[in-house]
Amino acid sequence: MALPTSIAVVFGFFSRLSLRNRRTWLLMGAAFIPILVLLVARAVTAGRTGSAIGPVLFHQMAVPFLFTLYIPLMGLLGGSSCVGDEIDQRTLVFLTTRPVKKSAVLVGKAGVQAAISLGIVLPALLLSFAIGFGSFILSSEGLARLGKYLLAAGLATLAYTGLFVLLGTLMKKPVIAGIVYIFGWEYVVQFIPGSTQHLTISHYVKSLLPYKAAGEGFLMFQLEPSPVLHAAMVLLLLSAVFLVLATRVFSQKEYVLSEPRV
Amino acid sequence: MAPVLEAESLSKWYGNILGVSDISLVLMPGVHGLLGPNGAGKTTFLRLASGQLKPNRGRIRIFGEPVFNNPGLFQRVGFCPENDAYYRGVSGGDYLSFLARLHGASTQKARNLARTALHQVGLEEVAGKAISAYSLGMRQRLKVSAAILHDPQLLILDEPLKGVDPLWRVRITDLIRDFASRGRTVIVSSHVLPEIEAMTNRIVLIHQGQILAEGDIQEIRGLLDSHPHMVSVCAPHFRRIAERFVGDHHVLTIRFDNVRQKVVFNTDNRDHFFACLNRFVVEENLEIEEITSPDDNLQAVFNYLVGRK
Amino acid sequence: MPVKERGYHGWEGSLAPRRLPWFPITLQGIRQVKDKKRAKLLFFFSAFPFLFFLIGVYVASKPELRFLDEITRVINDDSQFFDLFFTRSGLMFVLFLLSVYAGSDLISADLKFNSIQLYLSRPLKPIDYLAGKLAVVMFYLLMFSLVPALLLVAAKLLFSGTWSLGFSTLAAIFVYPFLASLALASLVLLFSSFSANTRLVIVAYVGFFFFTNMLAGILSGVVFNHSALGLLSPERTMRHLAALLFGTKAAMAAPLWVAPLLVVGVSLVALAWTLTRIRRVEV
Repeated sequence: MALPTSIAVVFGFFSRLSLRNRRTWLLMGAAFIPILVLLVARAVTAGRTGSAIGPVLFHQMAVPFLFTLYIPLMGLLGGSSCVGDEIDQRTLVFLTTRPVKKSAVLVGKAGVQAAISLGIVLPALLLSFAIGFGSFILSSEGLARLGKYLLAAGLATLAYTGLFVLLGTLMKKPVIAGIVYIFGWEYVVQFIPGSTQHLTISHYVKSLLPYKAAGEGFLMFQLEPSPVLHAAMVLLLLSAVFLVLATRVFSQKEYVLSEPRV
Repeated sequence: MAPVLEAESLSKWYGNILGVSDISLVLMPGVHGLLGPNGAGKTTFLRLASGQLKPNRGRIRIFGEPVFNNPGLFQRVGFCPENDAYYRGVSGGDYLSFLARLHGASTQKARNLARTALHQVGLEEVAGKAISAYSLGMRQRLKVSAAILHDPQLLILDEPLKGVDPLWRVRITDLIRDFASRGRTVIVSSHVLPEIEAMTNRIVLIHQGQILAEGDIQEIRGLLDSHPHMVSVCAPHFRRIAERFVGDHHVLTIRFDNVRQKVVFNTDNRDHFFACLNRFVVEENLEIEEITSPDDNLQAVFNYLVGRK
Repeated sequence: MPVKERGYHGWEGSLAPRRLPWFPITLQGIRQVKDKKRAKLLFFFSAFPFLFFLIGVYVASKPELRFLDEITRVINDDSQFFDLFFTRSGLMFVLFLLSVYAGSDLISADLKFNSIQLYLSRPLKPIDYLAGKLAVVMFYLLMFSLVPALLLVAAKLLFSGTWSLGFSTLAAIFVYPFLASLALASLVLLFSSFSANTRLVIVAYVGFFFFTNMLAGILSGVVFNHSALGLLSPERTMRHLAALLFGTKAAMAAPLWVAPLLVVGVSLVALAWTLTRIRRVEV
């Protein structure tokens, strides 16, 4: 069977399976918690005069939540589940003893995870932006800014999913390593002088954001952001490289289906 | 005729644990029973044969082709794994349709193939039900149907009758025999000798990762019959029974257990022993509480063969 | 009849109940965590805050290194020193990671393999099962918080030659890691009891911590402009607790007594909830 057809068949089956999975709905619910908080916060600050509170809330609540927490964690959970779930449930054998290339299986499954993440993240971002900026969203400037956020979220989702799909094919317990990467490496690197920040996905994601956060927190900038086009290309390239490497590993590696994994 | 499966000095270990060691085997079309106690290496061998594992040493070929990372081969091979594993939230029908689509079938053809395969294992009525709602035996039958779905040339079945009720054991056994009668090859593993006997007379005995014996089941049976057997007879007048066997040259040892009121015989001819026992019981109208053969199992045969080796 | 030939039914004794029925679960769990892949690597990195502070203690005891006066002053102030060690040295992240590593699969793996039923079919109550699991996480958390703190006390004594530690600081050195470990252990076990999928457990647990931290920041800084809302964050609450116990300056305007109440309260609620979830498993 042709590779694209195999990928489509795998994608179709696992997307249906994911939509029936309680976990997907739980994750979707989690993405909307900050939106709820934003709504409450807007209601509380409704009478407050002075600087526009909506954009502040969006930049300090929705953006950090989505870009530094939700997208990486969704990537970690989804990416590591591509192979991890099959090994945990010992179902991998059903896919690897059929006449389809292992790369088709992995790409199909990774595609489902990326699609689910995008399907949750993009509407959540859109809603947050609408709540934060109100009617500004209808202006051309507002739309352009929203587009940049959506682009950044989309590319970040692809890159993180790709990275953790690769980690999931390489390691038996990829989640803790992934957490160390997200909350350890990506955070610590911000304090390291030089261009070490180029070795993180978050640097390129941050470079795509139209609003530069000041002060402390995950979105602090120690290094000049990369140009937007450069950052976008790097993220796309990283996603592709991670996925290609993952398919290589998955095709050549044997998975012993008898031990529980984390 | 070209061999279906060829294994050459095949070895596989997991860290320090030996899976299979230096197995060389050639299998021709027909049903082949892979027999061995738990942990003998049957599953490892079948995982190597189905391309799930890479050999550490040696090689394995099916239809002359290497198995690992050779997806095209699975158009001709069907595999039923031992694990009770399934996708939650999917029905048996949808699951089989998906597998059929992986074989290149169109949506409609996949549905038809799924329906036929489910019919063969008696699951057509529950095709729309979630697999998680199936009983263990039904899930086992579903796995068998997934293996035969695409009408493969070679069927590899790892403990296919585990958890299946007696009626369906017979039907699946018939299914396997019928499958092989059409010139196909089946490799089926089990640790239960009668299960294999019902399917084939060609067996491969595997023990501690090595092939212990290979060939016709009658020869193995012969070994089973000629090795000393232990028979324990529990009866109120157990000494009178023992008395009758003292002069029998097929009885090698006699041991008494006063507390449990039983006598344990060691015989080198089981059939002869039981014929005599029946006769004595009838002649003397003896009351018997229990007759057991503590070592009449596959493990005993293995122990005997290992001992002889 | 020789004893070896007497079967179980012939035995006329009675089974004495174990005084600590949960203890075998703990021992088994400790062994399992120790044997996990990369455990030694994690333990090695977990000792970094201790090693860093140990060097500090050594430096402070050397008169020739007086150019580090400011650091020396902090190190010699026991309350500040241990407050820093527990809350600002990266130890909290280490303890958090250890709780994930040691605790995330303790109940979820049992749910996955249906082994809670096996435990509860023994003379074990659900609370014994939970106590056994809690003790596993507590063991590792205390091993990398209380034990290094006590070693630092010993190092201070060895290097300076005088005992300067007040009773309240000494008590705090015991109470703080115990409460912090209790809170982390009970929360990770609660999350572990939510799903048989350990990956989901870990991601949800990590997400909970970082999200509450973020929420505390936005609510206390932007929406309500009241630092007491920082108590929504477990990390900030632990710092508040350390301020109370070590008598150091608090970062939040909330009363200090709220912190222990919150830590103990959250731990008890989490444990009670976990117990309910364990009881729900059919035997």
